Amino acid sequence: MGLRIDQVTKAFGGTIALDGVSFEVESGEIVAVLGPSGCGKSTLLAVIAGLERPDTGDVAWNGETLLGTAPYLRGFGLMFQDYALFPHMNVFENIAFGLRMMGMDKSQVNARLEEVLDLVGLHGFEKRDISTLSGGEQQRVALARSLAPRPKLLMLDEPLGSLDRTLRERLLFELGEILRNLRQTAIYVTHDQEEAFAIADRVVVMNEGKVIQVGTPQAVYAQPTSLFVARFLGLDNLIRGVARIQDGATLIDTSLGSIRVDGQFEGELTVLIRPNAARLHAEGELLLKAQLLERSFRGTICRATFLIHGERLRFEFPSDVMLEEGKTLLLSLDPKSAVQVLR
Amino acid sequence: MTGIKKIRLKSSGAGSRRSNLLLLLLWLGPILFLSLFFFYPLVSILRTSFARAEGGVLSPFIEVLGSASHRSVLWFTIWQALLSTLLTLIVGLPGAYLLARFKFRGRSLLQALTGIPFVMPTLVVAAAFNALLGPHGWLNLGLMELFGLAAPPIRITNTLTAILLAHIFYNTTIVLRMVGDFWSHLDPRLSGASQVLGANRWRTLWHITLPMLMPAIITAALLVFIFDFTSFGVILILGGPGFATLEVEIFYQAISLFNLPVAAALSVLQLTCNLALTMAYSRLASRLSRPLEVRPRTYTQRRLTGSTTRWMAAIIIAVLLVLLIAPLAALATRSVTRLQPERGQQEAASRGLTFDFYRQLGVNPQQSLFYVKPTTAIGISLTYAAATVVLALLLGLPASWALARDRQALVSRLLDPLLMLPLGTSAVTLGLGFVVALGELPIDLRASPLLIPIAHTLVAFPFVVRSLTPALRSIRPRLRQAAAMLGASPRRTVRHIDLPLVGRAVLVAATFAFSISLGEFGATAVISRPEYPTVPVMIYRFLSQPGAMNYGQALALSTILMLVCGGGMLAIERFRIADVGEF
Repeated sequence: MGLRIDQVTKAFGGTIALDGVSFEVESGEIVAVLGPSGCGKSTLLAVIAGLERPDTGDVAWNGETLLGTAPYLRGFGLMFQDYALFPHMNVFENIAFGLRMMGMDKSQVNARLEEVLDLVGLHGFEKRDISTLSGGEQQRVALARSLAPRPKLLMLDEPLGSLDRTLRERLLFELGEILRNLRQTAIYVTHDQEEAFAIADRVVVMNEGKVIQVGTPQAVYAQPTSLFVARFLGLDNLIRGVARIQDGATLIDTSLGSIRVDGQFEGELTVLIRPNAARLHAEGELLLKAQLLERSFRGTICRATFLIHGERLRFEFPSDVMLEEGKTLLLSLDPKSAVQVLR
Repeated sequence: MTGIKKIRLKSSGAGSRRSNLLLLLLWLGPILFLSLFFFYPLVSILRTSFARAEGGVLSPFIEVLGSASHRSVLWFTIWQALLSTLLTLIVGLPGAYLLARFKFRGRSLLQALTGIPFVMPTLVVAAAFNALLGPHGWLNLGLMELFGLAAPPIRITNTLTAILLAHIFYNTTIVLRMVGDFWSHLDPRLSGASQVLGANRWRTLWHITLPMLMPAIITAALLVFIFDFTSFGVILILGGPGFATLEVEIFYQAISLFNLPVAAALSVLQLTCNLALTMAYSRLASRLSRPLEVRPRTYTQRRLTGSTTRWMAAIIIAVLLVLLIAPLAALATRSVTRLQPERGQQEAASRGLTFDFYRQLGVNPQQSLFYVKPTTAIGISLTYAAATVVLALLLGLPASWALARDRQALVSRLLDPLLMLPLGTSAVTLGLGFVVALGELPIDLRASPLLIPIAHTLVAFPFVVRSLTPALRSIRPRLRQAAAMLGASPRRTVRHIDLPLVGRAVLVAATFAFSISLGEFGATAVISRPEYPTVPVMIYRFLSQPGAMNYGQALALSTILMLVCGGGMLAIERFRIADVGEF
């Protein structure tokens, strides 16, 4: 039950915006579509909304195809990146628009508006002109407008993109709470992994019109399956290696030495070393002589860049750990948790 | 890759067929209307005319193009129209800026007053200019009194200056309204952004504001140019025998010499020029116009503060007052002043303030069969004007919507330039065409009172389309998508998004249709029935009779027309249906 996107392809002229995209959104689930700009996220939303027709593939709701259904009959909501608020209507009229289109009578509209204004905390703004609102207020109006008709599926296109950091964090929290309390089925499109991880039940990572990886935020972060996902998530301790089997176990020869890993691998591959996996210990399975190049303070953690056997690697430590630039230290890694093999 | 391309082409082919069908539906009314009331009469009269040519259809063209005097008429027609258009833009653009960006007391009044010249029949305009600048005009009388001169110092009758002044007088309102309305919705933050980026006011104007205004400016310029190009009354009356445009020459050939083949060849020449111009315009317009972030006027307009701004406003208003309002004021004051003694009266008793001309309008001294009370004539004029507004909007809204929706579609590209043809067509030719052709239809429309609003709509319809299309094109597609996502069907999206957002432009269009109908004289004179005269027809009746009393009555009736028109435009300005006009 819910939305099913099946092998959707869409090209504009010669450029392919969507290339065989498939995934599902369960009823009541929040799915984040995560990817760099230009990866086809917005086209995907337009196809689901019915504003664009896919070249091939199917979009279905509860098992029934939507391709023949006009956008205004799908009962979906879309919160646009630039909000697309109607400039000739005030806050009340903007939010009430969808309700009026449903043919609700005045008292019902007023009652629903009370609820929605409560939800987004915009009481007292009813008569305000759109052009007098701040970015955060416009964002709330846009959210209220798309929530008011109780859409079966709410799509949010970079809803927090243009807001400042503190506002973004606060609204992200509120937005998550609102959506979860409503048990709203939602697709949240963003290029920001923090937003995606904070709000989503599942994450769909996209690049160049293709789905790269699907999973819970924890799974995607813990086990990126490709170089692209690792890099996109900011995991950039990547070193090349060659795998061989010895005594039934897999060993990967890297510039850091031979690392023993679980699973069967062979040939050249890339190894990801997690940034939070290093300890300042003088003992352990994998000991590395590391020269500290620089360190930067990031609040509760401190990020340090080391030169290890000719590779630049970055690790994070609690910020109370004392590190001195230029010194050479001994770091220990537990290969089981620190190392992941990417294909 | 190729597979995807193929599929894409196929699906877009099906989609464009569907949307072409929709466009054709939208165009249906305008096409029927134009075919029946424009192309059919035009083709009829041209065929009748060329049938009379002795050396075949081509011979009148060879005659026209071979004649040096006809070539010089064409050349004069072109350069006077270019010069007039340029001057009108120079006068109109600062005014458009003032009306677009500032709130001040008397703003609506200024807008209504500047709209009045547009409706004045040529005869009245000539009278107004004479009342101000003629040998016995206020200015000459005043200067003669002041300096004790024996002869009037300003000689402007029968000069190019008079023609240019009259063209500016007539057409500035087109620039004020079309550009002004567009300007009033531009986001002022964009020029703010430009100034923050280091551009001074002039460079901001040049690089940011003017490019954004271009669609509206070239539209206004096209309309002004076509009016100046086909100018007839102004040239004939204010220019005198020394000047002739194509339209004047057509009139002369057709009516005075009854040389219909040459008149027809000249008409075709005029039509071709306008068609070529309109096609060039269409290309330019669709390249220049792009969706803009429109803003409500409450947001874009500010009060006049600071002495520089106030001075600028004062200068702009003064220029507009002198060029557009002074002739009207001269006309109005003249209508309540007696300068010459009536026959059999003492001179001393007769000079000064008088309301005789107005009083006399209500009297029917010769017990004429065709006498009509001025109130009745006003009623008739207003009825025709209202019918024209309704008809022009009914035809113009779907047409401009189709144009704005898909300007690349074949239907739109073909039909767009054709819309403007009625404006660029010789009124004399078309008037004769009406007389010849409409008698042949199953229903003889020549006797129908509907014929007059229909004729007025031919002129008003292009105006409606031209003022609505840029506004419709500037609506961001996003807003329509947002409405669709909130459950609005395409029909309701038009009702709740498109219409309110172009509400101002609809009002501008309505004002033009109203003004055009109220002031139209040429076609009306040919086809109106004597028992239902419009106000301009009545004015003409008075002017064509001799005597100071008749002249005075003509001035009085012109003043009344002025007031009716000003009142009508103020009413349209305040007019509201649902959301239309609020924005």
